[in-house]
Amino acid sequence: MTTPAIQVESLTKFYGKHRGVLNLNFQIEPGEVFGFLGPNGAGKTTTLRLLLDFLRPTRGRARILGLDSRADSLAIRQRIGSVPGELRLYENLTGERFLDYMAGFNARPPSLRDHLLDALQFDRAELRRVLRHYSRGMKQKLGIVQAMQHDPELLILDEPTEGLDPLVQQSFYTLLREFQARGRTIFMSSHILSEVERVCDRVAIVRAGELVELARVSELIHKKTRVMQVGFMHAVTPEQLNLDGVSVEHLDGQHATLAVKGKNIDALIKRLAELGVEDLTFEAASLEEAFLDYYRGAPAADTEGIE
Amino acid sequence: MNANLLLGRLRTDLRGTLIYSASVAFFMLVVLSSYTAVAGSSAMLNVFNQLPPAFTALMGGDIARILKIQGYVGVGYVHPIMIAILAAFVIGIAVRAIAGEIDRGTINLLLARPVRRRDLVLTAFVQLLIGLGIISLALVIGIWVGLQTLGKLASGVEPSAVLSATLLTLLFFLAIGAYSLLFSAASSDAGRATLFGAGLTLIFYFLNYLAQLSPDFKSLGSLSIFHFWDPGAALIANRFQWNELALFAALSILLTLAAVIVIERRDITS
Repeated sequence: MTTPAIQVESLTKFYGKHRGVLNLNFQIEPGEVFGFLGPNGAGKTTTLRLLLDFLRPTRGRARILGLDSRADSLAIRQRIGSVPGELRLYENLTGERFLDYMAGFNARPPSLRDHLLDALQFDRAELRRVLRHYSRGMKQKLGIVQAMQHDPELLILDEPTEGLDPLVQQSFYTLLREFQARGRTIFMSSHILSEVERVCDRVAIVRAGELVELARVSELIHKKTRVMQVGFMHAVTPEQLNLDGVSVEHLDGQHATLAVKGKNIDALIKRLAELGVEDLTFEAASLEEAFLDYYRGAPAADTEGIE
Repeated sequence: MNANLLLGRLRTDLRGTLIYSASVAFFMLVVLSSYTAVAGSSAMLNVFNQLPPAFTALMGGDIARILKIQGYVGVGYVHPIMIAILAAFVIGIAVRAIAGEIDRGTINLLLARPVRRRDLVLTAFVQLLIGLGIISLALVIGIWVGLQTLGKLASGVEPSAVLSATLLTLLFFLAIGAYSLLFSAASSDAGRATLFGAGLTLIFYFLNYLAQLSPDFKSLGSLSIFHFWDPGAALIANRFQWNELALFAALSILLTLAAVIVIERRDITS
């Protein structure tokens, strides 16, 4: 049996009376890209900080790479890389000195540095400049390089693409896939749903500090109820549209509005073909819609920062 | 202690340490260069005796001492400018080491690496020792150059006496650095940690100052660590003040251990 990359059991953190996270339970397998979703203040960063032993849990525990996140924190941090949220660097160092300084803490050599700098289109001449003169995007690239340069077994990333331009974001996603292909695990918090949909295998959704969903991205998308508008060649009856996962929202002779849930698309399409379709509109499945389902009816503050 | 962390910090703070060292050496040179005006002058003694206690307390309180070269060198050690320079140096290092890292947000990078929390404290303590060692060396060089310019007037200042006074000063400021380190370990705000470190130093300074102004306030002196720091006496007596050295060393170690306990127990939130 393989050891989970991350195993979280009843993890709870209170800041005085204020709840950070409550009773989190999840497990991430080696080689997974796992997305941790939620708006600002939902508890994403608190969870990451608990895993990294910045915060001490009120209850529960976490095991990382088979080790206790508190007792074996030092050994864990030899084997992981991290990009913190709201990244701040040592502004008075040059880029090169900064990367050397960060690499100096780890036993593993920074064997991937050159590859990462190339992949993220980082101009080498810039490495000789002092970091306070760097743009936001350049700092973020360097933050990614420092986290990945020693080829860690587990990457913990908090909003890693903040400040990156779209082209560099694509390069970063490719790097994540390369890491995954080498059996590395990636735990990534993000509020950019398109990014998570693209790179993650599974996601956890947190709301107000509690885990409200844990599923494969594809499952989550298919859980979402989607609307299909159909124009038929002839008038149809509701009974003719009676299928699992399909409910008729509106039927007006030849025009129907259907609510479709789950994976029973194939049977529906075949039934529609039998009935004769003149026109069809089916909204695209997206993680964004699925995610927002968990936040419908929530206070506006609960969805702040979601893109 | 973490060697990579220490080397990084020493490298970052090298320029500052050299500036502080040069300032200390230059200040001591300036102080000693003025000694020719007071040396053995009974007229000056009369002038000093006319000064109000509020003024003489700034020079260590004992006016008769400063007519001797050993006592005059001692004034250089305890002069408010010298205290301000050395206190700024140690408080600065202590605050930047922990509260500064948290305040700037760089702690998120540092503690994601295999760095023990206690290493933040212990590395800063070693950095304080090294920095104060360099500054002490500059202080001694400043004294030596100053004494050379005085010629025969400088006779009577033994190297062992300078070593004794300098070691006492080093440990005294190490103790100030250690309580600043404790404030730094407890805080996520560099400004607040600086305020506490500098504030407590000022309180100690004024308690000692008040104790010298009037016999009514004399008991306040023992509440201040400044009360136990008298490099002038070490210079004049030419002997190591073992009790005071032990006191400052013990304070430094205990306060540093307290800082370790605090940093190990707290949440790091930036």
